[in-house]
Amino acid sequence: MRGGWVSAKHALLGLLIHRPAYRYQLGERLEERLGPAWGINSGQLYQTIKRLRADGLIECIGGTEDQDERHVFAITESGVREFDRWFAESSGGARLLRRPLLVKIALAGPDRLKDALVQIDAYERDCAALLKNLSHMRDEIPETPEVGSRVRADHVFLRLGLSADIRHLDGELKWAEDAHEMVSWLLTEDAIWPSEHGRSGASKEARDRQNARDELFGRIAARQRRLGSGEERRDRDG
Amino acid sequence: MLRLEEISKRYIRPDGVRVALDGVSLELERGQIMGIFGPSGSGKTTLLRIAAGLRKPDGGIVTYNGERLDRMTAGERTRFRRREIACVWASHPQQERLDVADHVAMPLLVDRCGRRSAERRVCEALLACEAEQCIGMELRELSAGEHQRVAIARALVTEPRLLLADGPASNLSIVEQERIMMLLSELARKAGVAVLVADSDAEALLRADPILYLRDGKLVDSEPMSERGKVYQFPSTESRRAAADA
Amino acid sequence: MLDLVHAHKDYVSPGGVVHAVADVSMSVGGGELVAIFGPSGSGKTTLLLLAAGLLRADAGSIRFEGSDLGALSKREVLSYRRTKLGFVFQGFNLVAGLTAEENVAMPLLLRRVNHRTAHRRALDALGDVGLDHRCGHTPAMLSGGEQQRVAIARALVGEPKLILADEPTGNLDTETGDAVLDLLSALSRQRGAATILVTHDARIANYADRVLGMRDGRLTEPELEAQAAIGG
Repeated sequence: MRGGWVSAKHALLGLLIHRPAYRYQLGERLEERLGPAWGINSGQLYQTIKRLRADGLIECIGGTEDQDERHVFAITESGVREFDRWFAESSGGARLLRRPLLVKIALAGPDRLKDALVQIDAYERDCAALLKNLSHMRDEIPETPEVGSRVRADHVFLRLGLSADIRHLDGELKWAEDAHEMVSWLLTEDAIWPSEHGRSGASKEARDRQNARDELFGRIAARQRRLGSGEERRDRDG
Repeated sequence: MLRLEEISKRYIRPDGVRVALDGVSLELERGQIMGIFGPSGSGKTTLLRIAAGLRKPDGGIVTYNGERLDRMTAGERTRFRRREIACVWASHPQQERLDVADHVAMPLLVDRCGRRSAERRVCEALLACEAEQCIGMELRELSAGEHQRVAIARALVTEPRLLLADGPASNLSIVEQERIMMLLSELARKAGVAVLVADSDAEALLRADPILYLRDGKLVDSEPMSERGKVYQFPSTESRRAAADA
Repeated sequence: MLDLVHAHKDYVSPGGVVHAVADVSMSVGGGELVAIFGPSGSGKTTLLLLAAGLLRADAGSIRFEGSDLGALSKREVLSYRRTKLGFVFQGFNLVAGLTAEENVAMPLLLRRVNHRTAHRRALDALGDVGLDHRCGHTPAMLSGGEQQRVAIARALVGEPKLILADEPTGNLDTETGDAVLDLLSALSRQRGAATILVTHDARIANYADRVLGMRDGRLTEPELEAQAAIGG
C-alpha cells in the first residue's frame, strides 16, 4: 500500500539539498526520513532520477558512466531554485481519496454484492495487518520527550509520518467495517435499487424534468394571469 | 399580493410574556421571492403561520389581493388556504410510513380531485422537482434533500399563487440547497408565484431578493440584494461556489 | 384469520444479531381481540409489522386467511395492507390540516373510492365512534381521546378484516384510555374483525378475549409480564 501517486521528485531534491548521495542511499533515506508511505522501488527511483537529470535539477558528480551504482548525485542551482519555489507554493487543501473498492461496491449491482463483500473483508484484513506493523514502528520511537531530554528531529518527522498513516488506516478499518455491515443490508430482499438509465439515457431524463417543470409552471402562470383582479371572486367561490 | 401590516404576536409563558412579533410589515408581489432571515426563535415560523391564516395575530392586518383574512369566514379561510397558498414547513411529517405518491396526492384528493387525475399531477410535480425516483418509496426512506423536494412537489400540486416556506433548505448540503433555492426562484420567475422564504441560514437565502432581517420581533434593514454584500457580508455566490469546487 | 406459525425475525446490529421475534406461533380469529402485553423491546412492535406485511419473516410463516404473506408479490402485499388492514397508532397520526371527516375519508380516497361515497362512509364511521358532530374539526380542536377515536374511525372506514393497534392508549389518561379500549373492542367484535392490540397497559386484560405475554421475542405468560410491570 505505497502512496505512488504523488511524485517523489521534490522529496529527492529535498534530500540532495543537504548533501549529495549515491543512488541506493537516496532510496534508503527517503524511507528513513519520511516513513513507509514514501518507500520507492528501484524502477521508480531510476525514472525519477532520470527526469530530474533531464530537467537539469540534479547532476552526476562522480563515478563512471557505465557503472550506474557508483553514480553520486548532487543538486544543481537550478534544482535549489526549483525546491525553493515548490516549498513556497501552497500544498493544496484537503484532498479526497478515490477508492477503487468503492467503485466496485457502488456499481456491483445485486448480483455481484457477495463478491464485493469478500473483497471488503480482504481489504479489512490488509488494513489491520498494516496498521499493526506501523503501530510497532511507532512504538519503537521514544514517546514525548521528558523534561530535560533532547528532542530528535528525525524522530519527530518519523512519528508524524507514521501518525498520519496510522490515523488514516484506522479510518479505513472503520470504513471497511461499516462497508461490511451496510452492504449486508443490501443483501436482504427489501432493498431499493436505483433504476439505472434504460435505453433513454440521462439526457432524456433531464429533458423530461424540464418539460414537466415548464408545463406545471406554465399552468400556474396562466392561472395567475386569469385570476387578475377581475376573475378572482368567481374562482374563489367556485 | 400579500400584505402584512403592523403584525404583532405575543406568547404568554410561565416565566413572562414573550414578544414574538412587534409591528412587522411587508408587502410581497407576484413573481417575487422574498427572504426572511433570522436566528431560530426569532419569530419566523410565527410570521409565516400568520401569513398563512393558520394563526391570528394579536394586532395588525393580513391582506391577500385586497381581501382581509380576518374578514373571511372560517370556511372561506380554509378554501383560501387550500386553493391559493401552499406551505412548506421544516418539521417532519406525521405519517412517516406513508407512500410518497399518497403524501403528495393528499391536497388534491381533499379538494375533490379524482384519483386518476391526481396521479398524473403528482407525477408531474415530482418530476418538476427532480424527485420522480421517489415514487414507490415511503417518506422515511428519503434523504433529507429528497424529502424537501417532495414537500415542495406537494405544495406545487395544487398550483398555488403564494408559497410560504419555512427553512426549506435548512441543514442541507450546498448542492441540495442550491437545487431547492433554484427551484423556488424559478417558481417565482417563471410561474409568477409569490414566494416567501424564511431561514436561519443566510446562505440558503442568497437567491431571494429582497432579504429582510427579523430580529427581536422587528424587521430591520430591509434592503435589496445589490447592497447586501456591504451590510451583511454574506459570501458571494461565486466565492461560495469556488470554495465548494476546490 | 391471521396465523403466525413459528415466525422468526432477526435484526443485524453492530453488537450482533437480535432475535426480535423468536419462534412465535399464535392465531387470531374474526371478532376476537388478542392483546400482546410486554415491556418495550420485547418484540411486540416487530410482531405487528410482520402481521402487516411490512416486514418479511426470516423463518416460519405469517398466514392471512390461509395465504402465506411471504409468498405474495410486493403489489399483493400492498393491496393486502390497503384493503384488509386497519391501523391504530399511539400517536394518532392524523393529518393536521384536514378535518376529522377528511382524515377518515383519506384512506378511501387513496383507494380511488369516489368523493361522495368516501365522505358518506367517513361520516358513518365517525358516527360509530360518536364523533359525527365534530366532523368538521381539525385535530388541533380535538382532545387526545377524540383524536384517537377519529383514528379508530379511520382504521375502520375501509372495513378491514384485521385491525392492528400499537399502544393505542399510550398518550391518553386512564379514563380516556378505558373508553378507547372499550370502543375498539366493541366495534371490532361487532364487525367481525380480528384485532391484535399491542400494549404495556395492563388494563387491556379487561377488554381482550385473550392476553399473551411477550418478552425478548418470545411469547410468555402474561401474568409474569404484568408482575414485572408492577414490580418494576
